Amino acid sequence: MTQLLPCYRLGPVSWADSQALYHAQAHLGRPALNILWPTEPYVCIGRFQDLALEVDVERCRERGLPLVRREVGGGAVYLDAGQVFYQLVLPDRVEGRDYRSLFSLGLGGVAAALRRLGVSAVVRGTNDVAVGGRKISGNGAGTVGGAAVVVGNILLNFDYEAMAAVLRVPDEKFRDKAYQSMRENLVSLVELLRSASHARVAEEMVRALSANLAPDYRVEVQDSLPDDVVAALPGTAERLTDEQWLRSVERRRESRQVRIREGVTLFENRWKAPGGLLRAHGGLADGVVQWLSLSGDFFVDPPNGLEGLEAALTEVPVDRVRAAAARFLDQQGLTLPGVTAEDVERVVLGRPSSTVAS
Amino acid sequence: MKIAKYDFPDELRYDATHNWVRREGDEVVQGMSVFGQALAGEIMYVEPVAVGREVKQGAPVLSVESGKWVGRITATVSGTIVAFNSDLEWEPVLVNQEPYGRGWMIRIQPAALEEDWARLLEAGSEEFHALIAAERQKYNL
Repeated sequence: MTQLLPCYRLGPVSWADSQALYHAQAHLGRPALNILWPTEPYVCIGRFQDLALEVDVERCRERGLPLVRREVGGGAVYLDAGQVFYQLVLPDRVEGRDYRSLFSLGLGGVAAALRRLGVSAVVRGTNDVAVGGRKISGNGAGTVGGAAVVVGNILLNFDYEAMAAVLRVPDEKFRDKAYQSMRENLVSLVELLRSASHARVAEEMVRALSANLAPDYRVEVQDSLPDDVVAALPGTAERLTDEQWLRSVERRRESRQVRIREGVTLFENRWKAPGGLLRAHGGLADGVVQWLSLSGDFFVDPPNGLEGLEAALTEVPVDRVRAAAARFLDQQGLTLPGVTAEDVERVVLGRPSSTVAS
Repeated sequence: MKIAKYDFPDELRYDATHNWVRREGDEVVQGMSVFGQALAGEIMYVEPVAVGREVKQGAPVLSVESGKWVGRITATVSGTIVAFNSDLEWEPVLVNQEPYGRGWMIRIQPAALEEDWARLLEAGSEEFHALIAAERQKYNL
């Protein structure tokens, strides 16, 4: 049976409303498709991210960037008027763990909208849309209130520097690498299509998402938001930016990943080996170590032995990290007591190599 | 019992959202089945649950995150939470690695175990086989 889905083409809205809106709709049980963009920049973290681990809060304050914790998944993102948002709030009839279907409702529409604009976009993995291998749309999903929600954007004119600037990083090299990696793996629509505009992107998103939602939903553009949703916006924004809510998650996991696109991540891991604490940060691309920095509180002789280990593990596929580390540690002349190849693998990968049961 | 490549221990019961439950004395232990974790992918976070909280069979009890998706896990039986597996705070991927062992999620003191238990599915039942067959077809697993 086809269900009516109200669509709100809101254009520019305040940064607070750009997050509060879909949360309010979800908690009020008001299914909707929203198309909008924020008038001011801000930083938004995922439902279960640890703010202190992911975001340089001090820098955000210096730059006057508000902080928001959303109720859907994904990573910390810098958001501004250079991105056009879609927000799908649907009845939570999505059974069990059918999140792939939920993502496909949004991503299929985004990819189709880009193709209508003349860009050959494809859905990549579960939650990216890419053009020529570069990500042009970020997306997240979750159950919010009584609704299934999927939200995302089209990068119209992404501010790479601002995104790299707000990440919490172990050192400036990591920030530079994050910036470079984003430059290589993300793309803005204006880089592909000089004529791209907010209005044109919004128009095609409505058309393509409507087609992608049919026949289950019939999208109908509305003139204005329901009164109860408007009334709920200030309180919802206050809740999502409340200091206690922002700091409500303290992750105990010893690893952190900054996902650039499907298959490309930066990592920052710690592992307590018998010989002492190991720290690693670096980058992975399509299952291969791209760069690596090792440090920690343990004995190593000669002192520059770690540099050799870093070099030995660079450009090595993740499933061969342990073997490559074992070869290096077996070398004569390197003393690294209490640290095995398994420990090195653990700190580089942030987990044992074989993790997901099948 | 195996259904395709998925292992479902016979001594456990299962619900329709791919949770398993095991009786241990007068308590039960709950986790995500091997099929559930295959559907969800790598679990990135399991939300801790407070001991002492009352839960209802089929109602949300905690959330997990995998692949940018935040979803809810429902209670397999009604009762009171007596333990949360705090190892998952450090290693949520235990849910994937050892779904029936160290990847357990919560321990519940049941309020009406026999009634709730009767509503859960046995691995060998026709209903459970039909559920898994339908899910495999839906998700191409």
